[in-house]
Amino acid sequence: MKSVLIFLIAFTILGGFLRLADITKNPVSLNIDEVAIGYNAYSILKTGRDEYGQFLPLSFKSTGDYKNPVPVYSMVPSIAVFGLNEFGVRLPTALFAILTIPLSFFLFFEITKKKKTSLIGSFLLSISPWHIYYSRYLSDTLIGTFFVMLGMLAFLRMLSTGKRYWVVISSLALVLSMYSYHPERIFVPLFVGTLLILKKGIVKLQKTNIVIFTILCAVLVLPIVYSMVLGPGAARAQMTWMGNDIEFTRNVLVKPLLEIPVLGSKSLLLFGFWARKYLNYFDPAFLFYNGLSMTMSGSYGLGIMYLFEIPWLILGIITLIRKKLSNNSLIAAWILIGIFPASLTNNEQHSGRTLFILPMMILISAIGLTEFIKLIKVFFKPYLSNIIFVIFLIFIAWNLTLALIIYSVHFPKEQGEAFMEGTKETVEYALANENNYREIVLDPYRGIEAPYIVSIPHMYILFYSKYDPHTYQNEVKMRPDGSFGFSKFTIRRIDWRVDRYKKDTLFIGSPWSLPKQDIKSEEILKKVYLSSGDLAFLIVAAK
Amino acid sequence: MHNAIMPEKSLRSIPIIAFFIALLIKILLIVDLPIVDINKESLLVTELLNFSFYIQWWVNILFGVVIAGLIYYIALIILGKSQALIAASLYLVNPWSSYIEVSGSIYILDLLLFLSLFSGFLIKKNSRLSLGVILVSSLLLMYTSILNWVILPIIIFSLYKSGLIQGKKLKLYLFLLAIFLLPLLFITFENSQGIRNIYSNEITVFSDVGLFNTVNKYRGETKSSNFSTIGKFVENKYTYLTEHLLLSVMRQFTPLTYFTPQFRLLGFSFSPPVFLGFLIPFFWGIVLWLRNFKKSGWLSFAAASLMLPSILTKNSPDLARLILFSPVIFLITSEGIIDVTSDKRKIYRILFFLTIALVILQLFTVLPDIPARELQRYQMVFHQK
Repeated sequence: MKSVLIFLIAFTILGGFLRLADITKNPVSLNIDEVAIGYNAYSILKTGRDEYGQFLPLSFKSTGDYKNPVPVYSMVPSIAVFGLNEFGVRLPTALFAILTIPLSFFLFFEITKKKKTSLIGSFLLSISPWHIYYSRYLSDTLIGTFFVMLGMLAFLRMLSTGKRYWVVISSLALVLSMYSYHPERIFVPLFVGTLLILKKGIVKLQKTNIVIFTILCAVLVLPIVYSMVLGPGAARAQMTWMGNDIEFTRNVLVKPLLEIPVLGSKSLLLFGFWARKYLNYFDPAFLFYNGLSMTMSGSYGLGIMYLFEIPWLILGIITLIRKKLSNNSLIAAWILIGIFPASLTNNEQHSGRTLFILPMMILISAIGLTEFIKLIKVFFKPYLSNIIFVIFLIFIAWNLTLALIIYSVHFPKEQGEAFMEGTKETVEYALANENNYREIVLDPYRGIEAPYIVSIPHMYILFYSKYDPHTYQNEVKMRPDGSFGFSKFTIRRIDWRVDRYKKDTLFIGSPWSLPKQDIKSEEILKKVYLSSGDLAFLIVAAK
Repeated sequence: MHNAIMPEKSLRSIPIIAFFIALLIKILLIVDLPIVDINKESLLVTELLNFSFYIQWWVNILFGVVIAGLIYYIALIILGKSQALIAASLYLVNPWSSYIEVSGSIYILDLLLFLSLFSGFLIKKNSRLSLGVILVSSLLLMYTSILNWVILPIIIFSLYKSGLIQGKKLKLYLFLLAIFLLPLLFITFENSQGIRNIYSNEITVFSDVGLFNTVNKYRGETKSSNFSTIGKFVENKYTYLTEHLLLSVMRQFTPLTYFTPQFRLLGFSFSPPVFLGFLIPFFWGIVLWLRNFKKSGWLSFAAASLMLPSILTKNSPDLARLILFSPVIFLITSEGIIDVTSDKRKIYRILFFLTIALVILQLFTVLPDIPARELQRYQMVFHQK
């Protein structure tokens, strides 16, 4: 047990290093969700209310996407200690991620009853590209995954030991996961229901505990049910529903045909479309090549698993099928049900929405690796097996170095825009020169290829100026001309043909709204570039 | 592979009924496919075939029926009668074969020849007939495609290792094959440029310009970083091409390719190559195959070699090329269907009815969808408005 503990501590330290190193600079900038949640957490800390003045809400309206409460409330202590900055915002997720490493060992052990496999699993999780990626910036999905794992561990312990405190821990953790991220609201009830069927023999012996668990969960999720049925949750579900997917409406449905109302109708086609989306999560390109979308679309970057895990994953699946391992149906059900919520949404393969299947993918990989080592030793002579191990180690070293290069070099250059790179610099300039202007106008539309990204520059102003939440909550923000703003800041589209005549006004926008050729060089006060070298913003004052 | 016994008398007639229903559905699918009309304006068929398109069309349909017969024959010997009828029905009923046949693809002929070759190996009673079928199929395959120069030896070797061909017969076969291949050898040396052209048309996996652009872009980014030296070893043309090839291989093994329209039939369709419902018995068939892997290892290797044309193409997986592998999917699925139906446990009954329900549901989606939307999808993809 001592050696297990030593290994676990070592893996946790390694995982901690990979998750915390340079955390404020990579990803290159705070994204929209990070500043929005960060400012709401700051607002809660200072006033007990969100940006709209709601007292301790269970659903944060924020940018209109109704954010879950756990990521916001879990950030409050961090912001209280470290302040409203990059580190304060990103630390809680990283801490949840680091805690997941030892937690994974206990979960894997509860499922497999094998120490070696569980330790290998924890190690693989500590270096998992999928887990590292989501742990380095605010990820409600990672926090949700932590609670799913804790809840499932407690649930399985409850079934095996019958102890009452596991009932409380499992129900609390599973409900917290549902308050952390939306897909858990479908996954948790479905998976727990499946577990009860799979383990009906044990469930019969634990009737009282199951009843208490169900009542506790039912009471705790009531606000979610209310939100989903009557509140904003329904609007959120509608926003992300796969029926609105552009691929479906444009290429599959082509046009709604009234002459075939039942056969070949929209709902039947939608079923086929859903099946494609569901199975798409098993596409090798998603699993091993570009599932994390860290590089440009269509190129090879990092998948949710490493390339060297391919043989282990295959061997793991074969072992699950061929050998009667304990809980193999639980592992399969976790993955198959885990993909279901994400497959109902309107994105192609979303690695965030499926993160809670990560532990089981890692476990299969760990089972495969254990089997791989056994097979090599059985089928090959010692010197040959040593050669195979060396070759494999070279392959692993190559893959890990490639991952490091992708993370350190390509990711900042390729995805800077997705993380709103440059906005901080523009906001800092605006705040430093605030007193020199009567009005500061920020254009929310940006983009290198086209101005298709709608950013929320006002939230970056609130965040980096640590704007008093009480003042913000009580300010009138809609101006008589229909624009949005507070203090000296106005958020609206810039029309340079009209705006060029406005004096004492600072304009911040992309080259799409501030065309360089129409602006005198002395009017351009600053140019802000992305890591890729592309011009993202111009800061301009008409003279 | 085991030969399952049908449990009830009434169930025995199911495969025969299924076969005739499949034949009917195939006719319905072909009749409704708008490909013929489209091809008169020609994009799917080369100008060379334009004059004789209907001949090509009918020949391919006929080939399709013969292929179903050959699948039946092969499955009858290696699996059993029920599996054979179901496997042949699966070939007929699923949209995959209908689309590829109607498009006039050369791979239908290839498939016919490969199946004839396998059938030849399974003829036990008449040794001369067996040798004749094997030899003729092999020769036609060798003269049809350069890729078959690689696939055929792999298949022969695998079948030899699996015991389906004896040493004495193999020697005679190889001797005769060598003699009949002399003209091909002569042509190869005489017209090496032509052969090179055929090669570069058939093997296009590394001809993606985007891939090389990506490599160059990434190399440029890494060069200007602290990882410049190590980047040369980790991130170069060869590592990317290897990754690319590996992805191409793996994509042939994912259910996404076969049971959904992810990689569109003929580049535009929303019809799945194989109906989704069959995924359930297919998985069950895979489980059975894995449990009996030792017995079928070399046969599986031979079957896997049929994926090569699809692996080595630029837009991999290419469902037209992958049609060569389709009988394997149908054999595995038929084995799964028989195993599921022969088990009386409740869960198997549920799985069977779920399969049937899903297939019927999707069939009734696809049949009206073809005349209603496929032409528009084709036009959207190929900008023919």
